[in-house]
Amino acid sequence: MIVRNAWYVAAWADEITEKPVARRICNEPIVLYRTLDGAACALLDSCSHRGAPLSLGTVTEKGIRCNYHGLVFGCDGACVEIPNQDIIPKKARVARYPLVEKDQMLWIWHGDPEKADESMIPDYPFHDDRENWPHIHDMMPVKCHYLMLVDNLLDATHLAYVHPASVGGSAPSVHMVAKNVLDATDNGIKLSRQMSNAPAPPVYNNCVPFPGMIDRWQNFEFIAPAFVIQYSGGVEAGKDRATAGAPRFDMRIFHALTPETDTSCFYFWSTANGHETDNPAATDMIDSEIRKALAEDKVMVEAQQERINEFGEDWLVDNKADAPRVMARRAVAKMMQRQNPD
Amino acid sequence: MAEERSFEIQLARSQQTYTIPADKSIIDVLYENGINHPISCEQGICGTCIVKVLAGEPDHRDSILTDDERNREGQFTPCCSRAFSERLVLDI
Ligand code: FES
Ligand code: FES
Ligand SMILES: [Fe+2]
Repeated sequence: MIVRNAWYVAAWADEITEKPVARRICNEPIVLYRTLDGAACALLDSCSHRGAPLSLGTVTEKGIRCNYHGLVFGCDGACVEIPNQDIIPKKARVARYPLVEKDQMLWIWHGDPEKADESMIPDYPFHDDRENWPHIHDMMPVKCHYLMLVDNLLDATHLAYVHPASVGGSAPSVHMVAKNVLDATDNGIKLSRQMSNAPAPPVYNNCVPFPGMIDRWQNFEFIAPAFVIQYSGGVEAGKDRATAGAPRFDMRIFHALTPETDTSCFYFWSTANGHETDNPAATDMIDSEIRKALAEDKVMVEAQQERINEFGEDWLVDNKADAPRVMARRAVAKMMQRQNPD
Repeated sequence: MAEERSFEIQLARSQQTYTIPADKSIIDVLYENGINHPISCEQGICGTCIVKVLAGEPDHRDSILTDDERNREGQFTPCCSRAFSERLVLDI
């Protein structure tokens, strides 16, 4: 289930330089690079001459040069130079993909370029708000279908089993009895969970020691097909979340899942620190703690994908707690259906 | 939770009518009568059992259908949902 007429994160803006990067996105090999003027470009990673990958090429003043026989292509995919030849055939061009730089990410469009509407790109102003939300970002390749990570993010019941030592905390019952509010939106779902008088999970305590029990919240917004915007935190039990001072924990995570193939994806995430904004060590701490949790998820979902490859999904039976992920997948299916009606 | 009440369902395709007693689900009764309507979670989560309501007033108990899907498209999960009206006509 890969929606083509959609924006996906192709890369963090700071990952891409004049040195070309090869990345398979939505089952197509793409080369990402910047021109010498700094504009980011995305082309099919295969030269129109003899098919060699352009990602083995070099960015020059005129464009990206294929390092097999020297053809040069502009950002629009048209060949602009063929060594020792005056005629440049009209057909000498490679597919280009609309690519937009926004909120420190490069967003790629795989569908019909005519339909690439930049207003469909989700807004995430926190990446540029270094003052109030200093953050750290990264990417990790994961060998699973991208929606399995959406499932994972919207499923709180795994916290107790996969993440007891990180974001979960050790009491499964806390997650099971949490109050969930689940709403459909125009393009996804919103899920909020409140846990009152709960023990602070290890990550929270490592970042901000809490003397006792806390009131926790976790808010997730899923935007189809591939984004989860998370805001989590906690204050001392009984305190008002809007006004409570330290000790408190405030964390925003942006999750973008980009399909690589039908059974693999790129997981782009950022973790932002909202409780100790002038302390870079606190930002680092959140990053290193969340990294641990993501590594725990990776082990499980990759192993799960292997079984799904073998036995399929049709026989699987959902739990009550699967409602958010089922709604999320229905939102993706609807988006898909709107694009290819019949 | 309030006491459940019994109601009737009519299957539009076969024109058969069944009574759903207070202590059974629509799916329970269908299975007892040899109608193996597709199911999986049996609690309004997965959407496997979704059917259209053609007449009657459904009492939705699922956790996944949007208002639009329920009210405009008439989608309904017979594994867990019931009826406010005496009779429900389902597109089965
Ligand atoms: S308990 Fe969920 S996969 Fe086994
Ligand atoms: S069987 Fe899952 S919703 Fe009815
Ligand atoms: Fe997880």
